Amino acid sequence: MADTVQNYVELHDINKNYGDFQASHQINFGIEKGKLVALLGPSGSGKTTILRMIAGLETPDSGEIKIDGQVVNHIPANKRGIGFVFQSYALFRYMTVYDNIAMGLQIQKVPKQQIKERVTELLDLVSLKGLENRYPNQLSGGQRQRVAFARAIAPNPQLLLLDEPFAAIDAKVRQELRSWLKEMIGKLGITSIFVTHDQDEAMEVADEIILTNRGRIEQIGSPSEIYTYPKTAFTASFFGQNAQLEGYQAFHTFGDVPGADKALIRPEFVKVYKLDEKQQYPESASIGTVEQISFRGDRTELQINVNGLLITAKRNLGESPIAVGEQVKVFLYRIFVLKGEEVILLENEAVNSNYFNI
Amino acid sequence: MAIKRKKTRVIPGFGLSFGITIAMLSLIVIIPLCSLVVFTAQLSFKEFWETVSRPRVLSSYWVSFSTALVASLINAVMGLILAWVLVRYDFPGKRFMDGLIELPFALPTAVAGISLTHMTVSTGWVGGFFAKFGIPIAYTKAGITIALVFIGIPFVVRSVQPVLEKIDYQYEEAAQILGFSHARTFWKVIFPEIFPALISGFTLAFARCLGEYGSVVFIAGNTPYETEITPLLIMSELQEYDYASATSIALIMLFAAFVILFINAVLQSRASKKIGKIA
Ligand SMILES: Nc1ncnc2c1ncn2[C@@H]1O[C@H](COP(=O)(O)OP(=O)(O)O)[C@@H](O)[C@H]1O
Ligand SMILES: [Mg+2]
Repeated sequence: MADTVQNYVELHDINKNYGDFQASHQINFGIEKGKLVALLGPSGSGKTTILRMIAGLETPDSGEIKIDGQVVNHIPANKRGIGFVFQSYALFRYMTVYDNIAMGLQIQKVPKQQIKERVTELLDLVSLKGLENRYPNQLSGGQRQRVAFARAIAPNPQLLLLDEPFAAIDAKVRQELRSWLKEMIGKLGITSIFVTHDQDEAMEVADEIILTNRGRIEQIGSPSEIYTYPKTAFTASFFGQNAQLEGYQAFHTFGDVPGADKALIRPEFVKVYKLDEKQQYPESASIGTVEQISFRGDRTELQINVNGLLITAKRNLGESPIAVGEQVKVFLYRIFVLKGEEVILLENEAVNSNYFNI
Repeated sequence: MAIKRKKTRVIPGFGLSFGITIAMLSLIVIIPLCSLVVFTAQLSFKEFWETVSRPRVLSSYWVSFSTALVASLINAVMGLILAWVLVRYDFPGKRFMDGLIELPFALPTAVAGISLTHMTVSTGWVGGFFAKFGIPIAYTKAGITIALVFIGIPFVVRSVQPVLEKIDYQYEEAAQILGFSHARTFWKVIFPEIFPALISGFTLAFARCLGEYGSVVFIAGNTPYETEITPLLIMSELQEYDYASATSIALIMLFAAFVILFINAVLQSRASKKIGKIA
């Protein structure tokens, strides 16, 4: 099956230990040419380690890394055809923006005129025209990131690796840069892998997400796939704004899973009705008390206590307002039930029966 | 308009600490230096100039400056290598070696002078080796230089070491991925980072070497016009109770020290301009 698609990057059974700490354990994945892939996971889960092994900055203890069909384990970093954007950019402080971008080309002995053309083109691409004689410390965080990006792609690498490319940038600019980077990479068509610990970032930017946890890969899939159909308990609990609770049977009309540990409820699984509002499945709603309301701009977030279980729900601004202390009807469309490492998606049986009744 | 609002400081007592600073500076630096000028002022400018430009004095400047310069240059290179090894490598005895760097500070300079002389005379185990090739070390400028290298080692090492420790590995990795050779990485990435520290270590060592007396007098031989250093000349003037002459020559040395420190300051500020927080 793996041979039907030509993967540009492939990792086979990669293991890496630091002392007796296992930073990577049996890592296997393939990335198609031209894809933008996120390595997502909590801090310390081994994302950077994987990226550095692909780059050649770190050597795996066992396993094979292939780039463009060639095993690169023993090929030095600068011969792998990669560009790397470091977490804190690592721009050369004593070189101007121009020299930073030109350096990689100078080393490849590209003729001066050609270097000049390429750097000018790149400065244009990253909208830094006119800043070529500045030093990195004279730039804003976003500008520095774009210099780092231009420096990495200057020698025309076939694979671009980015370690937490947005981590050092303040929230407002970060949002802009995300879309900018996605657009830029799309335009260049360069296969790219970026590391992030931010699920929103990964889902927004990536074509595909590789989720890591404790040095292992939990799941690989498109953002919607991995979000909607988590295959492991970890994946289910990593994504979304989960409320974890025990005793989900308190909510109505869910099937029983023998031996289940607890349930996960995402806000979008929950529908809240005022007591006097009309409701589709009255028999399967539970009554709860609103404990807290937080305003989130386009919506409000409610914390609702249902028989001692606290769940989060969203309510759009258009809907009639709800006050703290108010009693409401709570309906759950579905829940994730966790059982060991497993996750089981339960749909509310009221919805199903209704569906079959039509 | 003219009212300046007092900024509140985190640590109170600025007035007191500033006062102490000024008092210390005056006691230790400014007042002794002024007395130099006062003593020298007993001479007319013509007398002063004759004193400081006697041939014997002129050659002592040459001996002092040339040996101090060569020694500091050697120290800049050696100190950089030492600092590099201490920061970048792990080996048994590293901490011991690190501690040893300060030995020239701790040792009475005369002790250093005597032992270095003992080692480098033609019967000593280093001097003996070079004597076979007809190269004398003790009682030559080479000997003086060796003593000064010994004295100056800590300055460069201790200036460069902390800066080297702080350099993020990411710079070198970025260079590695772009295909920099080791030499290019060093000269283009690391060297600019440590250059200001290296210059300041070098100038401190140089200034110290210019004034070094204790360890040099034994190994120098003190032949006038050949291996007589300026501080020794000042000493001999003092022994002859010719204070005005002694302070005149000292004033020249003081002037030289100021020039050196000034050049240092200029180089430092030039280097920090590039990476200064302007934006
Ligand atoms: N050079 C190293 N030496 C020892 N431990 C390391 C080294 N690099 C990473 N680790 C450890 O490996 C684990 C994974 O690190 P990393 O890949 O940087 O995680 P992430 O990027 O997901 O935050 C961490 O617990 C970290 O402490
Ligand atoms: Mg990381």
